[in-house]
Amino acid sequence: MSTTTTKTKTDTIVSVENLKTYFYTEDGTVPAIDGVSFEVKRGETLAIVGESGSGKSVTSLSIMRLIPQPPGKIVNGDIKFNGESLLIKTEKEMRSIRGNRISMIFQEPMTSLNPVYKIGDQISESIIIHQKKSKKEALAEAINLLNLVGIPEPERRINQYPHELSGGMRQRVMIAIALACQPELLIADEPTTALDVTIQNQILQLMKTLKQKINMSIMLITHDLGVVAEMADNVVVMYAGQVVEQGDVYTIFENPKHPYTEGLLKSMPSAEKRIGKLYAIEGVVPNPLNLPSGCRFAARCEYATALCYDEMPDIQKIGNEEAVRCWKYTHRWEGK
Amino acid sequence: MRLLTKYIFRRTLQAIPLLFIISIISFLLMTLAPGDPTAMYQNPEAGNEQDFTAIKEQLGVDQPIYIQYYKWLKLLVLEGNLGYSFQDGQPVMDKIVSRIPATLTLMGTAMFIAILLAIPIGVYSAVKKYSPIDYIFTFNSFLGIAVPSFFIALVVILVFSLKLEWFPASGLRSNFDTFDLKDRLHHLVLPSLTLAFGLVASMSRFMRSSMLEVIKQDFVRTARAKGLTERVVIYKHALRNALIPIITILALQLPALFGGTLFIEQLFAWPGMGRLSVSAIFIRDYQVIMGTTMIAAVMVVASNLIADILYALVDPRIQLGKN
Repeated sequence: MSTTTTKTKTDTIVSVENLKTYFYTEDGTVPAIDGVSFEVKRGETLAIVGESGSGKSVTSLSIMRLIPQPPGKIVNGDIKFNGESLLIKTEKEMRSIRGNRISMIFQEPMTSLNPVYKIGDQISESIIIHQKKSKKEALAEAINLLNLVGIPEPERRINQYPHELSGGMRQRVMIAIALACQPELLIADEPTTALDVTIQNQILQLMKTLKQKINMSIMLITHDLGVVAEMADNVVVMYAGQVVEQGDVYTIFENPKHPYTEGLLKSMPSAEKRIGKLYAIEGVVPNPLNLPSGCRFAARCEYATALCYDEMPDIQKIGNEEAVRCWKYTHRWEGK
Repeated sequence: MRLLTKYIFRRTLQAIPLLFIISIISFLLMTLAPGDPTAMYQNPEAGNEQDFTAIKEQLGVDQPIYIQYYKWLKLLVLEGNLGYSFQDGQPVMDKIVSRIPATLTLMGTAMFIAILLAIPIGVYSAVKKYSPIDYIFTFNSFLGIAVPSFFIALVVILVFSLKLEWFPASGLRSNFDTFDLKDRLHHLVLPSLTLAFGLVASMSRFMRSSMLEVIKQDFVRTARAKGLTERVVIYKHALRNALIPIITILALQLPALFGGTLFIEQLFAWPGMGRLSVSAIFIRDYQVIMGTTMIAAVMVVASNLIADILYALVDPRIQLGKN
């Protein structure tokens, strides 16, 4: 687990405030994100954890303002980047932020690069538009970036096409593209999910090193708690479009408050203990078209009481940096 | 580049058996169809059938089909000669060569107009899916696919030629003395647009679906995340990928386009190969029918080869000549 030395600088780079992003489909409204708040501090790595459909990716696309619209729409809340609201920016202003001050890497390195353009062109593209450099300068910069992300023979690589590279190499290229303009925030949406384990570790180490080199913050979206433990300073746990728990990585791992976080940690395989069957949280994520009015996790929760089914708990602070959305930590709790 | 030459050579060799089979089938269908080259001149009531036996003998159509075919093939293979027209004894090759420019002009213009219109229409329809303009284009496409080209040709002639008198209804030119570009283009407008209409209809639909497929790909999202303008995202990153399948479709459209010219040339009295072929069919001029059919077959095979070469040029993942 990474140390908290970066916490000395506490200014906030991104703050998401009560964000609601809904998708209006033919079957009804899907509240993909339903009142999410968190902050990313300068120099920190914030992990957003949750299973598929919990709203992790929609959160990151909302920050980039890349939600396909329609059907998606940010209906409430605010996203502030260095104190300025991103939601009131014009499309042109957003373009000057995307790929420049906030960059993004995606889950699928195999399909995230354009198959018909050379690696060098794809890296230099954002350098040309954001830093107003000539094509030649940008290509020279692209070679430096490939060096930086640990790709051998960059002079040869820039003339290759994505299909000539392995998955790990392509993800390094994606990182090179994302870092081309030295962004303040890197959003990594499941950056290692599609890679095999040894490559995963290489990519994570690379991200760690580069983060310090250019002093950026990372918002890491993942469902892999191993990756969280490796990378994160702070953790936001999401469930069915809401934040259920947030806190620093030690507290989350050592002393999880929310029953969902507890369940997630229990279902993590361990190399030390050999247990017969892996623990799994019973039940499934509620249908986003038909969410319960009470706690969204109640149906799968072993502690759930009548109160949990009736009323949705608010997210509330416990201690300094921690917050949890659970009736267990309120005075109204009467269960075990 | 040497790989490419080898590839073209190999494909050309592969085309030979294909063309051979096409020639057998065409010859059989043609000779088995009722009627023969003399039928048109015969009058059953006059009872002068025996007068034509001499002509039949002279043309060689009294012999069994396989012998006729053998003679035709021998002449073609040994001398590169497509035979002589039954009608006027002129070499078939000369007849075709004199007609090819007109047909290629018509087909080329129609293809050019179609590509020029279909790609932007398809892209627009995909990007603005389900917008009013998309619906208008969709309606037009269905019209173009559903209504046969000869009917469109008749309407076009009626409206733009007879009523409005904007364009001539027939022919290649009115000025027979010198080459007059303006006059030629003036004559080209109606037949090429009519031919292009059906092409635009189907091609824009293919373009639309190909583009819709591409714009949901991950790399398009990557391009947006780089901060590129929507125009660059669509016309640089998405379009080039969307064009790859369109090239194949273009090549597949070519036979249809060839078939289309048969009607269009007939209706607009356009002196091309299509018209030559249709009039040869009417009088059962076997030699000319075989000649035009084989030239058409060669053109279709060649366009498929060109499509495959173009394919490799736009898509770096495809390398010709490698397994």
